[in-house]
Amino acid sequence: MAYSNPKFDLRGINHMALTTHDMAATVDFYTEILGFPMVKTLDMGARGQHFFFDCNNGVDGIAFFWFADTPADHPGIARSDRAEGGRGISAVGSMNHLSLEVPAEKLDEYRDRLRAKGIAVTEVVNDPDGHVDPDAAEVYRRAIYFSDPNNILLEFAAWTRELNAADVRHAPKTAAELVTARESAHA
Amino acid sequence: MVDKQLRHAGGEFEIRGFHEIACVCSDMQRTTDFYTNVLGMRLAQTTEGPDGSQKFVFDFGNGVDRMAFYWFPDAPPSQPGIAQSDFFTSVKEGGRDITTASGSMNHFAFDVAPDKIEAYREVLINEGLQVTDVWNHSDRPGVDQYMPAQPNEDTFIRSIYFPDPDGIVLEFACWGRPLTEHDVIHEGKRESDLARNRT
Repeated sequence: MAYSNPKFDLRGINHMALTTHDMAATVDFYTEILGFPMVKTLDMGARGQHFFFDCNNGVDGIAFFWFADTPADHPGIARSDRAEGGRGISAVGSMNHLSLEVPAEKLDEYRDRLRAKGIAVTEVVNDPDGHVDPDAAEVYRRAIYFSDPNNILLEFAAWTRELNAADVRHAPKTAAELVTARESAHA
Repeated sequence: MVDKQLRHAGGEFEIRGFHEIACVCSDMQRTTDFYTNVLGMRLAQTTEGPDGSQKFVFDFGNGVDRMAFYWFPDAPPSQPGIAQSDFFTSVKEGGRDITTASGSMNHFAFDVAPDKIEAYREVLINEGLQVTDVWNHSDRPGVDQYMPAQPNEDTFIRSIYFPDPDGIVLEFACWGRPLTEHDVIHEGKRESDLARNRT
């Protein structure tokens, strides 16, 4: 039985507002590679541009800002540094990566299709921990990873089983447990 | 509730929704309290790495979409203006400086029904959150009216903004009017158009 939000009817994501240094290349990628219709272009004058794409389902959207004074790419801070061979870390308050839900049975086909378009895509990863057998009982999701022209880490993924009460079993960590907090406590 | 699987437009990739919007928090306990108790999501999964890092997944409660939060023991501290928008500081000071670095998320908007946005604003205010007025994003080429006090026939999005515990800029948004081919009229700027690349 799917969980229903008792407080807010959140129908989807009206738009993820991401940031680009090259709107033209971003438009090419989201419309030509991913096939998302561009539905709105907003000129912000000297400040820049704000363009909106539909995720091809009529509900969800991805939007991009192009700021005339946008700071350069900050891997490991403003986005995951996995493409640079890092641990996949990024700063508090950042989006690390963005994962789109696709049908599980289509993941292999989608990987091949993206590759045919010249996109570097990982093999299908079965979690937990990149399990080699996709049909193993403990596998809960499958995913492929690739990057957009802004080095934003994108993912096509699918849940392969319902999550249940046994999937929630860790006590949440607090800010006091951060290395920086522990160091300052001992300073 | 929207059945998004029925709305697939028939394109090359079938996107059912957001598998996870993966962000980074400083305090998983505080983040869990916010996304479950304030926003009504369900904590669906917790995982922990050998280095003590954690990943918690939150179910929106719409059948499809989820948030994921990472907690890294050595996460770099927040960097407003680079890794997240400094929107709320800027708005307080009367400005609109929301710039963030290339490759970053600036903010994101949950889609809500047009007739619910005012009521939802009251609920969020009653939770003690700092929430903006309803902003009427309006656009028609040649008309200088970006944010009129009342919605008009050019209003394409109505929205409110509020911060999560780490200052991530969240938005509730609804479409104000259908978008048409007249809404797609600008050429995308290039990297060579950036101020720092102009000579």
